[in-house]
Amino acid sequence: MKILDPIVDALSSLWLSCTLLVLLGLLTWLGTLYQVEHGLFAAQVKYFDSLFLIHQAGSVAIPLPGATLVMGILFVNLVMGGIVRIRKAKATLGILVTHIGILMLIAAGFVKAYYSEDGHITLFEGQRSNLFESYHHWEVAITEPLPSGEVRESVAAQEDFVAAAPGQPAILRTRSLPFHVEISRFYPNCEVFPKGPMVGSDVPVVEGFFLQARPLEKDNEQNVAGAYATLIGSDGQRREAILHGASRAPLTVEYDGRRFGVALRREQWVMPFTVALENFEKEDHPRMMMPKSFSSDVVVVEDSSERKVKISMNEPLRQEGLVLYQASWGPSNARPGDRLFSTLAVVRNPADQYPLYACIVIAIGLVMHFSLKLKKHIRHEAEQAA
Amino acid sequence: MDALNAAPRPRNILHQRCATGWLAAGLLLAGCGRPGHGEASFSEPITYKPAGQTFALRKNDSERFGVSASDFARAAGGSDGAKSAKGGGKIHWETPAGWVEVAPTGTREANFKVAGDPKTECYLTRLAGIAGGLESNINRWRAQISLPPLSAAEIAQLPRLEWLDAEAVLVNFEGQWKGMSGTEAEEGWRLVGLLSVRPDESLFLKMVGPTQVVSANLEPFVMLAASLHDGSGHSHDAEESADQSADASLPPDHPPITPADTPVPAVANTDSQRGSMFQWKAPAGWTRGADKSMREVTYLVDGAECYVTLLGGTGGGLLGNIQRWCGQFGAEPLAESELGQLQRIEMLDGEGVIVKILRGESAAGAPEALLGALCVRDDRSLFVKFVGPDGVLEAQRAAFLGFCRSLAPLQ
Repeated sequence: MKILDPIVDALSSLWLSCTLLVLLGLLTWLGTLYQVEHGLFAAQVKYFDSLFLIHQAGSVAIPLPGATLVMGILFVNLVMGGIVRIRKAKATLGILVTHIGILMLIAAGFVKAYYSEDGHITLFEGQRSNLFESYHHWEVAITEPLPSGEVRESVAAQEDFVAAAPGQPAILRTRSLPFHVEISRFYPNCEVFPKGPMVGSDVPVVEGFFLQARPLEKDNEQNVAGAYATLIGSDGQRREAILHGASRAPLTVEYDGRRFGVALRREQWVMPFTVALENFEKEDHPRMMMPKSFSSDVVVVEDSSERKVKISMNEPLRQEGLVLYQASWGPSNARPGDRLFSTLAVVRNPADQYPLYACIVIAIGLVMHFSLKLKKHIRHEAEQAA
Repeated sequence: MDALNAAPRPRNILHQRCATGWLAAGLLLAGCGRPGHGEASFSEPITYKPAGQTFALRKNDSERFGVSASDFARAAGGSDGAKSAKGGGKIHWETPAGWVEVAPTGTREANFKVAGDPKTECYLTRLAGIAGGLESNINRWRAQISLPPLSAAEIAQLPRLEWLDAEAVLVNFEGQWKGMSGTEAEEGWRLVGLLSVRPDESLFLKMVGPTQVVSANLEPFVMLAASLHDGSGHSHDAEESADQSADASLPPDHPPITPADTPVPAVANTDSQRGSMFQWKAPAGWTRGADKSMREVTYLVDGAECYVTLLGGTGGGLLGNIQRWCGQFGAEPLAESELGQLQRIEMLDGEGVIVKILRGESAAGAPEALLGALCVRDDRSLFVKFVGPDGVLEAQRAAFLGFCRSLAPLQ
């Protein structure tokens, strides 16, 4: 196994640890600067969700590892160097525990990044919903209303069609539907316009409408995606359509006597309970329009039971693995007496409490280590005095 | 970290770096995501009952998208939301015949190719605040056409007129076109424009191109400027939907786009405005202008504009309104004793008074003449104002009087 020794040495080295920590600091700094001009979401995608990136420093392109890669290597480095190869002794017990805590923290980040769902529910008073939707990601959803009042839904995630362009369409299929969908163009931000008789358009015009691409907004939540889609039935018949994220209703199609709604919408999740907003309260600072606090009185309906809950800025609702935070309200230009809506951020994070546990473990490890150090120091001082 | 690698081993830093590189490459390959195109599958279907939502199926595209034909104001540069935030609403217009509306750009809210000439263009720009001010914008335009800057006193002498409910300065320059960047050199170009600089936002309508093309398109330019309005008090959906239905680009099976809330009066041989309490007969050759707030209807003919205003009660009275019009045109106010000499016509089952006012020297920015009809009653009063070149007004006098006579309350 000598051939693996250099790899093991490299992965467990303190040199690698220091390099990775410096890189993490550098990425955080560069990402923060990038965020100023390009917004939080773009910075997060480029610097933190990536394996590699090109940082543009003026006219110089600097290749850098992304934070995901750095964190992954750091995890391996910590396991190899800080757990497996560390000298196991009473003196290093605190360090070992601390490393376990740090590993828990990295693991929590991994779970949050890859296994959590986060979005929001926005409700006016009197409205209710059992769905929450993503702030950032889009999906193509095929919805079939059923006689029972339920809907049957299949979705395709944005990753499946985000690069669709003329000549390289995304073809979305499923055996449960009598048609499939071909996305020929996808625009992350666009508007839909009617094609008048005197207007030129360099993109396809479908049923009198066309999509006009827009530059990406700095705040990704403000971008509204659109796509040119072709619905292809089992008989090969093609139907062109425009899907737009701000549509008021899905495109309606019928195949084999079944009616379907086809929509490009923000990614959506079903909650195991329904939230109804009864009352939204906003308290402003005296003589100012700046809110001091705001809270939502909601009714949580699950099966046949109901319970009233107040969700405020620091008091989220935790239910069925979901956490509902009071996130914002609107309209921002509302005057006294205007009808307001409440936005509740919804997070389903299996590692929700991991950071807390990790911090406790890290604290225990540090207390153990520094207690030993202190004890050793006191003993040393006493010996010197003697 | 001080306990890391407590048991020292022989190190080879080169080996370590190579190994790290291989590891990184492996991770990169392992981390490659989906390409974002090609074949993919929908998720397995899930069934649920949505709470508080109904699926509105069977909507046509117009209903789905919430937009109807010919409204391109939302395509203005930046985002419409930003414009709304600073107080600017949608701007509507009527594209002059023979001009081609092209897609708006980042700064051009309305954008036209003029009369099929590839070099001549006309566009409306709307900017926040005073956008550099009147003087700097005029002189920037002059620099583009190789003219020296004007002094403040010279700018004050430029003609002014009312445009989009505010004062605007009309400019008309000829010279060598140097372009925005100053790198072009086109001889014999002309630039005409309207500049309305306001504290909240400023509007600039500019037509530029070879002199002969621009000169031949002055009237459409004026008509375009006159047609621009913010749509307040109007809903364009019905007309736009009607335009859309008539659009030959629509496929035969396209569902009709007719909003439900568009009660167009069903009166034969009239051209009534939706929501107006009146009907009328439009004279031949008159072109319907864009709807404007406070107006029942607007018509354009040969560079003149005719519009109808309805006011409650006496609307300021017969003499008061005539004297106000005299003031607007810099003419001597009419004496009460002269009222009896004015022409009368049958109007709204009663009597209408016709007045003609020519522009005086003190009203340089006003149209050349006004031909007006006033029907003042105790309950409501109707005013028909026909403004423009005197020659046009006289040529259209009979049509104008016929139009006034045709005005009648909706049955």
